Amino acid sequence: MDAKSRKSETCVGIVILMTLAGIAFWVYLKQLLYDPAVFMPVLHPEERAFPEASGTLDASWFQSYLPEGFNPLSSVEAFGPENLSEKIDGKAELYLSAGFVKLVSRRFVKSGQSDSWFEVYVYDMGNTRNAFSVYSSQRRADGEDVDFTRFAYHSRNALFFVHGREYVEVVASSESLIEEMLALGRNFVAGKRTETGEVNEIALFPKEALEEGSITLLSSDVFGYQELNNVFIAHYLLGGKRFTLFLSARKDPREADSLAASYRQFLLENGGKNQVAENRIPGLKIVEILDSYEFIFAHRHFLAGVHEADDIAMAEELAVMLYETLAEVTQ
Amino acid sequence: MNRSVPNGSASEVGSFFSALSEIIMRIVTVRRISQVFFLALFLWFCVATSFGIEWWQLRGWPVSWFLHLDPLVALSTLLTTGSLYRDLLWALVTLVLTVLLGRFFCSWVCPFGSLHHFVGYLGKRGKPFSSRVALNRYHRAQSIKYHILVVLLSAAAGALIAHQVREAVRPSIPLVALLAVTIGLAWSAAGRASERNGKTFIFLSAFIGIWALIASFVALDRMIAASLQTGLLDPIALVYRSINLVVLPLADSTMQRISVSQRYYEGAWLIGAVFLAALLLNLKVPRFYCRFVCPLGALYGILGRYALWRIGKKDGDCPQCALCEADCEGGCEPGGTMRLNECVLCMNCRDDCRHDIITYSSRPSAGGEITLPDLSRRGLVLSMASGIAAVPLLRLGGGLGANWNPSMIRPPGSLSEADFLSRCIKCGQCMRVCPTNIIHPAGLESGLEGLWTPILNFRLGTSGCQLNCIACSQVCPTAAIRPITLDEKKGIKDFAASGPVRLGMAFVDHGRCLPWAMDKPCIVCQENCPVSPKAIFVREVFNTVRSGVGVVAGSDGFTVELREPSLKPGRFGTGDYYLAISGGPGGNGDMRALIVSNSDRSLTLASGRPLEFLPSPGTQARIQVRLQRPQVDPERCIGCGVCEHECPVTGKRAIRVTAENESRSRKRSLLL
Amino acid sequence: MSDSSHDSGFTRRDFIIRSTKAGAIIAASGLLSYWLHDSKGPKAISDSGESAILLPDFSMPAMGRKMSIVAGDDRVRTVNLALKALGGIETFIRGGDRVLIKVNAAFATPAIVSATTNPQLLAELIRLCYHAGASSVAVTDNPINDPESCFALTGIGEAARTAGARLFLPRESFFRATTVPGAAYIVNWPLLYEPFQGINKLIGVAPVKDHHRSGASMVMKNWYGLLGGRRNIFHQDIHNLIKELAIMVKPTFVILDGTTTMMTNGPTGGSLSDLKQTNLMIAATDQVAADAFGATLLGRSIHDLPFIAKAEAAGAGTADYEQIRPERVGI
Repeated sequence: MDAKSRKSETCVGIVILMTLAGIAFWVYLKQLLYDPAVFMPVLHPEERAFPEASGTLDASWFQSYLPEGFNPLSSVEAFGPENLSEKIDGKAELYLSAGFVKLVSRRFVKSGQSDSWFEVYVYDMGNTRNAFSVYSSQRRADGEDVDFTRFAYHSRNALFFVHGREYVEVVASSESLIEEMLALGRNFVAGKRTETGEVNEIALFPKEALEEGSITLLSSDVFGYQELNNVFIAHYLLGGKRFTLFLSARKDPREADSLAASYRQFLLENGGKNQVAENRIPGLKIVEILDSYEFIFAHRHFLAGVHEADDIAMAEELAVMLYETLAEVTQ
Repeated sequence: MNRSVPNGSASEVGSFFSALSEIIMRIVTVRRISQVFFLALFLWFCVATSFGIEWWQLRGWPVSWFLHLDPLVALSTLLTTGSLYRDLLWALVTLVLTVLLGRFFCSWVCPFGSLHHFVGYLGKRGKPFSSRVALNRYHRAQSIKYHILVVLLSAAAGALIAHQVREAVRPSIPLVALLAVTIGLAWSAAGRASERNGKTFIFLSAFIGIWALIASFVALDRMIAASLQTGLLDPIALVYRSINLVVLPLADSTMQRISVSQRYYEGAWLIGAVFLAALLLNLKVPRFYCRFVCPLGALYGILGRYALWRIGKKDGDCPQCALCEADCEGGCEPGGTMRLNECVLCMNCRDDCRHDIITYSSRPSAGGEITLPDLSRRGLVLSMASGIAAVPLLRLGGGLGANWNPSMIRPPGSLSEADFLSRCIKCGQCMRVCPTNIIHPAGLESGLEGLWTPILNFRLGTSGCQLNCIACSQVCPTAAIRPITLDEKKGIKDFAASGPVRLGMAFVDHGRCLPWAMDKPCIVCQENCPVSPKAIFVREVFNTVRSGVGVVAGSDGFTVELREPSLKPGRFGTGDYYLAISGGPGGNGDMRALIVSNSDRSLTLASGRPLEFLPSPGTQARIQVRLQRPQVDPERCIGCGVCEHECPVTGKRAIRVTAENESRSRKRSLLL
Repeated sequence: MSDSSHDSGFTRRDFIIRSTKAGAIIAASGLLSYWLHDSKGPKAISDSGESAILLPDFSMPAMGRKMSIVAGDDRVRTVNLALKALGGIETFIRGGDRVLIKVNAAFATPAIVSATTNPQLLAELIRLCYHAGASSVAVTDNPINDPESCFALTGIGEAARTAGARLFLPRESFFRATTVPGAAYIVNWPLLYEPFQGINKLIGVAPVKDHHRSGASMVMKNWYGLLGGRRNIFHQDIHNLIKELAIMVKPTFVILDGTTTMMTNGPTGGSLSDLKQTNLMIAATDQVAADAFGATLLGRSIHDLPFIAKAEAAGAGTADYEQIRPERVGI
């Protein structure tokens, strides 16, 4: 082979080898670029996929309300009535009886601090009243009220509030995240427009001696009586003693009357004794049961009274106050 | 390229090159480097086709790149679908280089070719020179591969031709162009014959014309359909399939490095046998497959007809020493009349020639050259006709219509069956990547046409089709399994309206299911159903067990004594059995209590839930089993097959997925 | 190169020709690839090449919404009177018109059980069309039972042939995929299209029948016989399907034969005791009005037949048929 053709052969060889190097480099670059969305972790048969409700979730769920420096720690989970218990086990019943629609939850972590995270639960309860019910019936005793929305409080590591038809819980992994959680709550309330339904009964409780934040809506099986549902209760401090007032708006005066009567009957059947009542409140009935007094009366379509009062005189004062407030409002 | 000594101005450059040529020396060395490089790259891709993002896993590796480079894949899918899918554009690179250079792919890139090359080298080692020369002589049978190519491409183009003519009233430009290309291809294939006989083109045109005429009167496009069968013999698809489904599972079976458990492929023996046969035949004739079978090589041979550079002899005294033919890979006779379309550019002849007569240049060989395959007009027309006619013949079984096989479950994202068959090249990439090893090459379930296309087998493999996996749709080079996203697979977000991708539906076989057929409690399928809410739900029933009727001798409310000692001790203490007694006092009706243990005649009931009334002696007592019978909700079931995989009836499963209700075909849906 | 080219007869010209051919192949394949390149991939469900067809509008808006109701038990007489009351068949069918009559030949039952279009009525209608100058009349249906037997046993085939109409029995090649705009069900669904080729007038003729699934089978339900494929799947939501049929088909006019009404056990009936002589013939340009009136023959209100209200809401006609002031003859 002559020198010239050898030279050109070498030349071609170098070009080819450089092409091969180029291909290798291209392949190297190519493998770096891939869409991580394709590679969700493959689940083993033993592990179950997170249940997902129908369709409305996306990966950015709730992220716009996060304070600076938080990132998702888990994927969005959603639950409907049929599988809520998979998430919150036995507590599901409380939500279900109050008209639960959907729960969406997700964990977020503070960047750089893997032990500082919280989980946000947004329960869609259908309406404000239902949301208030689950909110109030779970209210923690040591909770501190928060000002950014009407029904909101926080405990040492958690924040609870009602916004529109949603009941929101934010539960943190440590006590140091309160400020961030409050910021998150503020962002959520400010950022998510919603119709705020009223809970009218709250205004009907006398303000005097009312224990702050004690008004609670009990959905069903109230005071152990199956027929009694949708009852608001409120705690009062009077003369160092604690009293529980209750109030329930019924469909019409007839129902309120008959419920008052059947509740009284229920108490009598369970060992209660009739007490004579002064007639400062029309139709007031007092039942003495287990060393406490139960005041029951109906006014218009309201069923109201005092529950398990130790002091009959003070209880009557409170009952009268409640009656007067009702009478005033319903005139 | 004369023999003149390099002049002074080039001498410095020349010394640089001679220094380099110390290292590189010969073009065949470069060729070997290239072969090793591409073979290694290919094998690496096979390994990396494992679902995951580790450096050795799928991540962004262009694992189907060799298929993308394959112009036969591009051309045949172009004929069947009228479109060139995404990365198949790479084939244009190969095509352009082939048109300019000749069949470089075969000896420089093709991983299958490199394997043949190596085995062929082993085979001819030690053989005497004369027999090596004789082995590398051109053989008439080398034209078979062109017939194979024509048959495969006509099968792919049949529908296009028939459809084209029916559309002639309102022609669309790309379709006309496609028809022109088809005819052009046929023409150039027939070119050799046409040089000999000018009538061939007329003959061919007449053939197509008559065909078209028939098609316009008879609705031939109903039967004449496109069928993509190139993948059967396309060397790239074949080598992917063989390495991925046969070699890797065997190689990995001892180490289990690539996959955590042994990979199985149903019917892999046939793929392995074809692969092994193709390799072993090299011992008989070097590059047997490349010379006689390879349709891709045939396509390259035709495409390289006008190659600007080609191997050939230059003028000069050729002593006819036949050295150049001793190692000729293509069997193209460079020493005599050069058969351009057989030359695979191995460059051995140039390297072996001691007289420096063989060149790779723009001049035709001084020994004369033949640029086109040895095809007779009759043979060509016969191949075309049989290719076109084969498809309706294969489909006469009605497998695409009413007689479709419901046990053929296609991977998620597969197109409707006809479209699927017009795209699938049987490369096995989906089968390789499937993390649960449920995608398998089909045998003859969907007829000959569906051989080695992917179908799901939920008994083999490690689970069903995973909810959060779309690997197969991502690697498919031709979109027979179109690329879907996880959102689309699950039917969420933008895809909420269309719902999840359904592969089929699970059916409970009441004759085999334990709670249905044998009164044995079992809810494995329900527990394992990954859909939320679960597609499998249960209905509770209480059935009196066989010989489970006795007569009460006495009871204290917590235990019940029977008169006959007929029970197997301990058998009814599993928590699934209840004692049922009817006819309580005051018309209490039936009562049922959970049995916690039993001896041969006494039954102990759960203490928390004793009997509501004491059965009087002589009352009939029935031992009942509480069954939760599984039932499938067709609106929820996506046919993922997890239930079938988990079913404890391990032979023919008691819950099985079949393709009814699969979302790729409206005709197969069970519900609105 | 040039110095040695003459030796082998190789000329620069040969090389240029070869380069040009190679260049042409490259250019052609490059162009074709660019042209046919598909970067997205195929759609989920393709229609396999054939483009979907849309049924043309055969209605004559200039005629307005009209209806006539004629009393009598002689169909030949009543259909003549009914059409006259609409303005005469000449106003609908003019010289050279090519007419398609969609009959109800769903079942291979005798004409006497009235499960199918009455043959005398059909024959008279064909005669009237030719009399009005129609150049061709065709009759078609895609029956539930075997087509050959249906057309033979109902007498429809014989009636059509003797009256000189062309009969289209369904064949696989007669169907083309259609999609009704905005429809949920008739999407890419096979439609009996071949009989419609070249047609410019469409008449629907159907008896009044009880229908187990939809409540009633009259004019609108009769278009079901234009569908192919596995249409029985539509029985899962028959009312919405009938609505889509009413959107799909816009006939020139319809004849609802209420001479004998199948009151029970529809749509097949089978016993004469299922039938009742109601002796009315209805002709209308408004198919919804015709069906709404037909419902009264079955003793049903339009509230029993949701498809009527649905069809009206979809703009297919008038459910309150009195609104279009039907012409009554002999009542």
